[in-house]
Amino acid sequence: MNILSILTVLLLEASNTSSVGAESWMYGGEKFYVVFVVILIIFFGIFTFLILLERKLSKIEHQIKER
Amino acid sequence: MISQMFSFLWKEFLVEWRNKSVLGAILLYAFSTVYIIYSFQNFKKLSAEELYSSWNILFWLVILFITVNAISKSFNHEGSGRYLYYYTIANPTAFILAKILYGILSVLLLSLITLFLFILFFGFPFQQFYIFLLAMFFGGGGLAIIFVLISAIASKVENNFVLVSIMGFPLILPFMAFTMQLSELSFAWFDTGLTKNVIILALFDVLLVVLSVILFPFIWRN
Amino acid sequence: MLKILKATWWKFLSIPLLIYIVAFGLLQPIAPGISSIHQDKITIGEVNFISIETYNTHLEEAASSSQAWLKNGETFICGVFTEIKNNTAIIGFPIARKDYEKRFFDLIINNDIDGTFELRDALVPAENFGNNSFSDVDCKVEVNTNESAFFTFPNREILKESIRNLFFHVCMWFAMVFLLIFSLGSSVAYLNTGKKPWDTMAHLAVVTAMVFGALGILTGMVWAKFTWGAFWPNDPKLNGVLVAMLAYLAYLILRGSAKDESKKGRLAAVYNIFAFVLYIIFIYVIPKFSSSLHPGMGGNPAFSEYDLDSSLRIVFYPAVIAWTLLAFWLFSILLRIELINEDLEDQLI
Repeated sequence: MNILSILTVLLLEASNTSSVGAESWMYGGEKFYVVFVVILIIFFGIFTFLILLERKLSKIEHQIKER
Repeated sequence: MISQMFSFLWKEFLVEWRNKSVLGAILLYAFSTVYIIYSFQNFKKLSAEELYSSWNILFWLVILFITVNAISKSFNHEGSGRYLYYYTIANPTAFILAKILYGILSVLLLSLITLFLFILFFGFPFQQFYIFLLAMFFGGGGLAIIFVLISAIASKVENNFVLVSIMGFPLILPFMAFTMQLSELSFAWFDTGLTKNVIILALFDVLLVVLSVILFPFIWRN
Repeated sequence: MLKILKATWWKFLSIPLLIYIVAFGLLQPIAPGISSIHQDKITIGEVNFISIETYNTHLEEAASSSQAWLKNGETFICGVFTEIKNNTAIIGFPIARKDYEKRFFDLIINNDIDGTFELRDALVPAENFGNNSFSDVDCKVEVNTNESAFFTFPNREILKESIRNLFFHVCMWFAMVFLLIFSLGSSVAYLNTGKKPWDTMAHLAVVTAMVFGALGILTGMVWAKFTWGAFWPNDPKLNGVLVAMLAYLAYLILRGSAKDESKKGRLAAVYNIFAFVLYIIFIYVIPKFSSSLHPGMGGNPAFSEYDLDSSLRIVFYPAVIAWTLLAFWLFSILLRIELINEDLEDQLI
């Protein structure tokens, strides 16, 4: 996650653009933030899936211990 | 197999005829829905164009719920013992074909009655009436086929009326949209893309029947 | 099948692919373009000084080779750069005639480093006219266009940088569809053989596919908000996908409500096959044959438009493979946990 945000900042710095007028921050950087948010959502989704797996596994571990 | 199919079909008619309350309930349902729409005052103030599109949408909505009501009961009265009995003597293909045929016939009859009610209450807005009948035949038929298979699945599960809606509605939504586009043509003067759409719809119905025939034995087996 | 799912080689394949697509997909610049123009009207009969802001360009470095012109139909009006600073410039255009072929003028800029880039329908003639009278000079002879010196992704007007979402958002759908196809295959195999693991596979593939479908919908909503202006524009593709997700949620509900194990598996498999066939027909087949359903409605750039661009393709195809492999990886872990769980339950009985 950190690497990604650094990449984003680097790319924004490199492209050196300023958002125009009163547009919302999402439109700034020629809509690069949209990509950033999309990647964030995907990461959170995959992490949620991992947590689901984690809980299933610990349930099974618990069962095995009981027997 | 054909004779088996017709005897099953005859049996369906007999069951329906002896149990008139079901048919009556559905007819009452159709009449009261149409009357509710009629009594909604704003409906009469619509301009011609708005009236056509709402005509179309409301008609198909009424048909959809009538179909759900009519078809979802079709497997209910078959107890599990009777299933076992059919299983030993009959061919599953004949059984499902009879159910589908009966479903299509009853939906067509009910939609004709609804159409009559609609024309009675809201006037006759069609420019090309035959297109609407085509859409009713292929669209209503397709609805019936989908719901027959869905209710066959649901009949094997408890609290199945809810399941019929849950499983059926997502599947018929795009189908309904397609049918409604076809039937909308009947309000217009032109008929561009009519044959293509009718052929797609007809092929689709055939595909649904084939799928049901292939899949039904797996539902039937116990 | 289980053996392949337990094997590790294809899972490790997804790691370099993902690194490749994330790095390449994020760092590769998009093509130079004109990001904003500080006025949209030009006065006829005057020299118009137009201030523009460009993106990913090297205007200052390539100042000596810079050319700018307005294009209207077959007419080209040459501009003179009066000021160039970083990526902004002020260009003067003498506009003489009143009778141009089209209403809108396209603004085109060309230099040796960035190649040629344009802003379509950039300017409109204003209502009032200027006082100066001079004759129009058609400078078509001097117009020379060249390719950009860099390898870039295309710069589309409403998409801009967010074209990179192609490697993330669109791949979610591909992963979902591949998982659903896998689930269909498992269901068919279950109906044929009646072996329990096939049923578990079909079920869990649908669960994983729903996770990726939900990600696809969420990311798509964000992208749609900032390209089309609404989280849920009324587009047939969106609605079709939502309907498909509802159908598969119904599949999960059906599994939840049946009690008998083997009956549950069989009914679910039948519904799965039925739903998949309907889904495929409605999402992929009917829009192609029917004139009434528009796949590219609501400013939706149709998929074939991307297909043509080779610079996107060399990232997009690996991205599809990478995300699909990752999805199958997650699915295989879920499956193996569930299989152990079932074993445990069998032993208890």
